[in-house]
Amino acid sequence: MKKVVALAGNPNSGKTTLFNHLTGGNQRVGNWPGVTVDKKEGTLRRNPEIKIQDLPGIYSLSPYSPEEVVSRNYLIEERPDLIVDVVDGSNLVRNLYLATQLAELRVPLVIALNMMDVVEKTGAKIDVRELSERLGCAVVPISAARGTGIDELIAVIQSTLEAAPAAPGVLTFSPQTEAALAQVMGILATHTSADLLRYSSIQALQADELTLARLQLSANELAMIKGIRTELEQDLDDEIDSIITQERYEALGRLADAVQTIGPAKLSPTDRIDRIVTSRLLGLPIFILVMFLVYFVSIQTIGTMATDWVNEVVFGDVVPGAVESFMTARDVAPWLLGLVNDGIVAGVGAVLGFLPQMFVLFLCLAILEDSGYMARVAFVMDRIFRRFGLSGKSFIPLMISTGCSVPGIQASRTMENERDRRLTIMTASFMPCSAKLPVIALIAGAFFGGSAWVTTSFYFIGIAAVIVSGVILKKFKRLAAEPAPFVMEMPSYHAPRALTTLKYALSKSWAFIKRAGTIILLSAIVIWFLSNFDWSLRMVEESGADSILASLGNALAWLFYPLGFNNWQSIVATITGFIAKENVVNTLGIVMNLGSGLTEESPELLQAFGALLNTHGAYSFLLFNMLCMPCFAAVGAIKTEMASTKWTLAAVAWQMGLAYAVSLIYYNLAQWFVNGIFGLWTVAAIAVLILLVALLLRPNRYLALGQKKELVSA
Amino acid sequence: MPLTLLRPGEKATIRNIAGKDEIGCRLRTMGLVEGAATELITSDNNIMLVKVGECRLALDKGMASRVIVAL
Repeated sequence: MKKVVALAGNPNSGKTTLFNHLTGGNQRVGNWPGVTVDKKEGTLRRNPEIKIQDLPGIYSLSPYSPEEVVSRNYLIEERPDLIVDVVDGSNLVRNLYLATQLAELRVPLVIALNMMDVVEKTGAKIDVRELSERLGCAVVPISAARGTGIDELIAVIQSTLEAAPAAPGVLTFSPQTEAALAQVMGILATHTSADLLRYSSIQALQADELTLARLQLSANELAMIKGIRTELEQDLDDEIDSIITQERYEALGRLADAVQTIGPAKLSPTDRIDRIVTSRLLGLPIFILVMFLVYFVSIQTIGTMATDWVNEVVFGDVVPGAVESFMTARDVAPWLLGLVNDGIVAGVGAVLGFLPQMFVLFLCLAILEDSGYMARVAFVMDRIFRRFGLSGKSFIPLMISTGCSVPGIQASRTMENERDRRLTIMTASFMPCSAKLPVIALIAGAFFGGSAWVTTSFYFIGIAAVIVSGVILKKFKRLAAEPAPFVMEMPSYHAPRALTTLKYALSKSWAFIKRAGTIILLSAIVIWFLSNFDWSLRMVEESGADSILASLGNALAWLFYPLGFNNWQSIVATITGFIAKENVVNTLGIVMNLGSGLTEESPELLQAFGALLNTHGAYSFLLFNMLCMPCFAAVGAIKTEMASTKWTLAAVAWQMGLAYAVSLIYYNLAQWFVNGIFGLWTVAAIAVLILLVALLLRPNRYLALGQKKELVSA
Repeated sequence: MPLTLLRPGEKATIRNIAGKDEIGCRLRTMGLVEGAATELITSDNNIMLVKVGECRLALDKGMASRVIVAL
């Protein structure tokens, strides 16, 4: 039978990095707590009989957020054959706190003493043998980041599994606590297995609700345990959680004194950087500068130069030329040439052309994550977000959403408060993801001279949409709540590792190429067909105005007329964008028949598009496409995270409604102020604006209701 | 005195954490226990960054005001 080894440990202690070493896997790693929000499975390299399970980070076996529940339930219910506790050696005492709890599960334990390179650098020393002796289990010093000690760890894992060793030693509490514990164990003996008796008794003594529910105790037994608890609390003049935690930490303090010598105390580089980066005065300006730089580099300069080259040379001349000469040489039917050149090459090519920009963007985001800055963003933004009733923690999902909303929405799992989490899930896709960038870049290039401010404006519009949604939605009963108290560990800064960041950017780019080769390709074929044939399946004239696609688009024109983009081309582009946002560019490339040369500066696009839209209409088109329902993949992620169809529909309805309202207000007011056009829709726009402001300003009736503490359910 | 009164750069020892609820428990498991050394790195009206032992924690003022320290 397969043996199962679970990797447990504090958040950001390097479990996933170690997992990748052990399995040869390629799971996402990052330098902030909460990168892994779900369990991941792999098999040990060179030994497929051993299964390795990566778990989200936990501080203790008492979970606070949903991803922590995943780890705890796994460890208690599935009972792996071996737990490898990944311990950050540079933060020994806090990390060993979890080890003392894991030992109580009576599962064989191996400590992977990680970050030994950092420990050595600070001049500290850890007596590994002494530590192993005192903990009663094997301790293997490793550095997952450097890849050292991994072979030794694998050897220890294998020998421990074969030897079927005794469980590690458990920590002994004070005599008073032990006496109380013995009484609880007496009560629970018939309710749980011998292995879990001590663990369950400690948890029951601490009134842990998940444990009490699992044990199914009678009212009488519950009362007896409560009596034991109260007596101990009076005896030691403290409350139970404090007693247990304090005693664990005291024991660990003695342990640390015996095994660890700390290097000379000096202000660490991380603290020096934090004095500046998180300071009240400079925190926010630095954040804005960093974000501007990221998008300036990826979209305006390096990324764009490469993208222009790909678009103009590769998909502008080389590929279509080669296809044409290849096909005409073989006398292929003209429609097939049309499908390949005007459909597939124009559509998929238009999307693939943005690959260099995307690669640079993902590289920048990977650097921000790996350096440790990501967690500081939550800190810096909390002071702004909290003013609007939102938690700074929701900013991490938003930052990740600038790469892709799907992991962004998943990252919301680290939020403790269910209402905050729902709100974050509903709003994460307002941030312009990488697939939306080509859309912005295209329109910015065609209408606004490629201005950097059009592009960056969408990041601030995204944040504004999140804040507006937060303020409005928090006034509804089901979402009303003060944001959860903010507590978050800040990782140490380190220089971004070239290999980690490159691997991340490459895997993301590869995913993008795969999408282009599958869903975008398929869409391109369907769009080409629909835009080149009419309802009686005859091929239509070049303009495509009689095509199936045009008639579908025109049928919806009334809906988008007030938004200023009522031509069928932009409407079908918007709708195909629901499948994948890249499709907006894909569709425009095909229906405008711009096969050769869909670049930002291309005069064809400017002319073709300019004939359809004015600049206000174009910006309104962008606004709608940025804020409306995300792609199907992201909606799927929303559904998984909400675990409710009703909430998913509510999220999509809100996104659609807000997108429509914002576009309506922008377009009609812009037309009025700039072009002096005042009409019925201007009145409607003003009415919607007033409604939005009223929703923003109305008092919150439910706040008191929402303040009731919510428990994370298992 | 509460942690919120520390000035940036000041070091103190944690004496007590007020409150029986989940949050107090959470703070304790994260290492904010009696006797732990702490240092304030930055702070403003709402949120502060403190060093506790070897790790850095961001706390909002509401939570920080429940942590009692002595210089």
